[in-house]
Amino acid sequence: MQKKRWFGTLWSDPWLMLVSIVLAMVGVSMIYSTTHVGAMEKFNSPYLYLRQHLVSLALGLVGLMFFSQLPMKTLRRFAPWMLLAVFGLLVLVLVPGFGARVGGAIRWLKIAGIRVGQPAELAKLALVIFVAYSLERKHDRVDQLFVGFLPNVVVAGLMVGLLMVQPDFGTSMLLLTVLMIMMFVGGVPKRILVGSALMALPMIYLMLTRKAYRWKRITSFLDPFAPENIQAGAYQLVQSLKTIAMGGLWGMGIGQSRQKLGHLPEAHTDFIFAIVGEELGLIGVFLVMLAFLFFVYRGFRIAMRARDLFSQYVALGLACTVGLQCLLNVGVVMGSLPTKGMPLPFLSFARSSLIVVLCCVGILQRIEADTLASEYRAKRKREENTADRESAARQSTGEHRNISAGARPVQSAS
Amino acid sequence: MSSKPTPSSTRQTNTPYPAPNAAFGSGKRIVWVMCFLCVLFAILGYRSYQLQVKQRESLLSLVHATQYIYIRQQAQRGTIYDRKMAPLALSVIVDSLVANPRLVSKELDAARQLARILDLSPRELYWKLTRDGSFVWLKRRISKREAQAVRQLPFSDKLRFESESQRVYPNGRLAAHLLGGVGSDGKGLGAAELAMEPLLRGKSLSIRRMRDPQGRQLLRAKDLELARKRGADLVLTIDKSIQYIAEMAMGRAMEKTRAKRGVAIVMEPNSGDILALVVKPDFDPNKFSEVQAAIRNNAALSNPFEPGSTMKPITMAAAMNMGLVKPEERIHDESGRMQIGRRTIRDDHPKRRPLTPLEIIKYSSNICSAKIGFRMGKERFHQQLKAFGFGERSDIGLPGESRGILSSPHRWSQIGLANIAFGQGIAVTPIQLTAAINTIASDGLYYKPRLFKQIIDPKGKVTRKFETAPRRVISSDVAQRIGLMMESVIGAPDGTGKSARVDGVRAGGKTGTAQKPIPGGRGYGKDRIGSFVGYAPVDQPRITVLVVIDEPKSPCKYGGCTAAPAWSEIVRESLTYLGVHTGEPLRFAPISHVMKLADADKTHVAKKLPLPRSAAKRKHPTKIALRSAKRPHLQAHRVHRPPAKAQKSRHSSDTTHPKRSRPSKARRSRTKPKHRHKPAKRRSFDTW
Repeated sequence: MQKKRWFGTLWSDPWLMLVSIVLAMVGVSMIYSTTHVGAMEKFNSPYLYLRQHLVSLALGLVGLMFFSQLPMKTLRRFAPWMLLAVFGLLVLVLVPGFGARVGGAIRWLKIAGIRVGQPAELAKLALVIFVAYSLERKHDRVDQLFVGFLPNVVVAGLMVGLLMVQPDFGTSMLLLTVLMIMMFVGGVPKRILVGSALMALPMIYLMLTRKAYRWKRITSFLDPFAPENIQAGAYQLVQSLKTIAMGGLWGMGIGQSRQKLGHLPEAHTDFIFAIVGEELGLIGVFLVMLAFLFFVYRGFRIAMRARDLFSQYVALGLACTVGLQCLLNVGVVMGSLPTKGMPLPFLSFARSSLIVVLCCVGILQRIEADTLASEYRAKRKREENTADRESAARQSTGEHRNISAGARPVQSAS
Repeated sequence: MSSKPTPSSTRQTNTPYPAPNAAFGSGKRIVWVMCFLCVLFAILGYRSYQLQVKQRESLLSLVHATQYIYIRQQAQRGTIYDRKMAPLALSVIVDSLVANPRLVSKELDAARQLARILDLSPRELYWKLTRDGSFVWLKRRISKREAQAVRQLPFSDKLRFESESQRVYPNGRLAAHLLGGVGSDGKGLGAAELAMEPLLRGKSLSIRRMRDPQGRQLLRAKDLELARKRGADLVLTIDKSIQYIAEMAMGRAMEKTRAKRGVAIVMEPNSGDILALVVKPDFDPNKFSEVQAAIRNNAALSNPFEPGSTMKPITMAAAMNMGLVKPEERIHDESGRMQIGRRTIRDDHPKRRPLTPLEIIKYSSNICSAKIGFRMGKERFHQQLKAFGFGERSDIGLPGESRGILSSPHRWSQIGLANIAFGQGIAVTPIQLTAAINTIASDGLYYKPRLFKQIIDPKGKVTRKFETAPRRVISSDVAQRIGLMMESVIGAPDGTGKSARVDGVRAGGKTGTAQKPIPGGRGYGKDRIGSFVGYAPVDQPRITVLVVIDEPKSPCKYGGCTAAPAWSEIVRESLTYLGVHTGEPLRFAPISHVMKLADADKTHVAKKLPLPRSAAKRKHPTKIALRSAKRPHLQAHRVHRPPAKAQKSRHSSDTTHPKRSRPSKARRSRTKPKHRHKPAKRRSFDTW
């Protein structure tokens, strides 16, 4: 009985699970396709990246199972502590000796010389859970600026501040957007949201212009094919656009990408979607994007079906996180957004991200399992009620024993 | 957490948490968010459609610039063959070492190691390896051993081998002046290599290869299948063996005479094919770019010289062809001195008596030649010289050919006419002179000298044959007569070209010794050009040979001592090679004997000589007899005539020189092998 339940929790929303598995498999094949040449050349082992990716996939599955078994009550109880822990990690990354600098940003936490993960990925999860916790706690006072809005903004602002030190502009934007969406859905008045957004604009502008490289990214994004930009910041973007264009309608075929042979920097991480476009074509791009959209839809469905506010907010936040991360990444890859470092969930060779995303799936499954359980209970209760009523009605006839005894097994089987 | 008023939700909850409130569950806001996300996905979907379908082409044009590298692969240069398809010049694919300086680290160390292997200076290599850019030739066309050693270096993956084609002349210096050479880029720089450059070079192929951002080529399986294109092959008329013979002979002659320059040309009568062309000093075409221009220069084509007496057979042929000199008549040699205007012409061997045309050639009489020249007059003589190919390029096809110096006749003075008649005041190139004498050997037909035989395209098909129709310059009859005169030069004991004698072969030739004009001044200096031109065998010519020795330093500077021995050597060896001459002496009357008889009479010898016994005995088949009576000159040249018939008709003409009656040794040995061991003397009289 216990075993069956465990498995049932994992599959409480089979469509979500299915789309996750499909995306993960696409990710595995794309990562192998993209990295085997480079890995062969650099490390003389074509499976190096694939192996690492599969290890993190396995870790992610463990996380998925863990979170699918973790009661939401527990999660809710630990929400503030998780937030604190993430803050600690974010600070730790900035401590010399614990942060690993990769490509101009300190995002990796390094312990004993080994890079263990990116706290920024955990920050997404922690913030969503915390905001959900906060909104649920103050659900009746969300329209008050200092109760429903500001505490969350302050927490998120602190987190964004820490992230911007790394710097990680992409994750910061993502977190802020998710926060806004959650507060919007949570019932924070529109005027507060719009006002805060207007107030944030100068801040964002300042952040953009303060760092030269960031501003260059913006300008080169606006006109990537200008000669001075191709030389400077837009090289990656131009290559990415070319890569996608190479695919055409039907794509070059799996493994046939040419841009992955060194032309497209970060082909296996942040720009893997370009390789998807090249190898699988417009059809593949549409299918992958539809898969993500479907993932978001399932997440929202779970959120709407959930029986308690905390679960609802968590489901909403996680679905939005995954969906927006996908949008941001694809937008960057397609040149619709300025370049920033943001892995594509499931597909990119980004181990922390993969583990966290799988954990998100676990949480969503847990929420759906709770919903199903409560639905089941409600149904049973209803039936019991009707049965009671019927038995009460039949008591007069004196036959109820037989009927209820015969009806129960049938109900439990369904 | 605590009990709160349940919002207007139909669902019931039994969790301790608040139930979904209106703001969330049933509110419109989440729907808005969903719609917002859907719109964003739709925008990106449209964007991908834009990129992958609508703007695809314009974006792809950018891809080609960065993703492909266009390599111009030069076709493998065509082979140059001799007439027997022995390769004279061929291209082999060798490795050249290329480095990508961006990839190489520890340049100093690398330079040192490479320098040891490649035998270059480490400094130069270091400079190359530290240069900016992604491509640098470290050493072009390295040997297999070097390549092997380089491949074993720890940083060999940073280096790269480009296959390049290298021109190889397997025979070394052989035919250097005909072949020329190529530069470091494989471009033909001289002679045949230059003349046939577009054909040999072939079409270069522009190959599109994928590359990575560092510019390294990415080879796919199908790239490796790509066969290198080939240029067309060129077949020369040269015979490698005869060329070798001529080179050896000329080498010895140059050593002996310590001459400044030497030229030898071997031409095939009745086709004009150049069998050999030697210019000394020569060079190694494998190192063409190091050779001085003066040595590269093909003197046989581009250096006109005053031919001197070698011109006399031409003069004689021209006059006889016009009927201005009869075979029987005699022209007085004015005792070796003749005044023309204020100038005097002298003979080297004055006889002080009238000379037959044969004697004029044999003794090389300037005075008689001048007189013959006067008989023809400027216009007609000039016309004839033109017909012999003087004054215009032979169109042999090699670059840098001179047309010689033949001024127009109205500018000739009387003394000029006289001079030209014996080969002064006219400058001819060796090739022109050979072609002119070859006309006599070819029965009066002028064949343009031909060096290029055919072109074979890479598929093995002969695409072009170089053939030109001959033109009749002198009658066959006259050609025969001149041939006999030239034979006497060599054969007669008092001929000027005795030292050109070839045992066992009836050879005809003419010496020439010209004074060299003082460069840039008037008149002649002390330097001489000795030459010897002729063909053999006279009755069935197989080769026409010219040897020119420019500025010999030997005590005897005459053509008879400088050029004739080399000529003789070339003729003997070549005819042996061609199967005409076996190197054995003649078994019948030696030439000296015949000539003695002829000269003793000072008239036409044929009359005095007894008819050969065999011919007298035998009954003449009428047809042959009649024909040979009409055209006696044909007899000795009739290649396929059965020897018996030839002998019968031999003496039907009284103008025929007695010598002609001897069949060539080769023919004899071919037709009558059983007589081989009979005593020579006896056989010869048998023949007579």
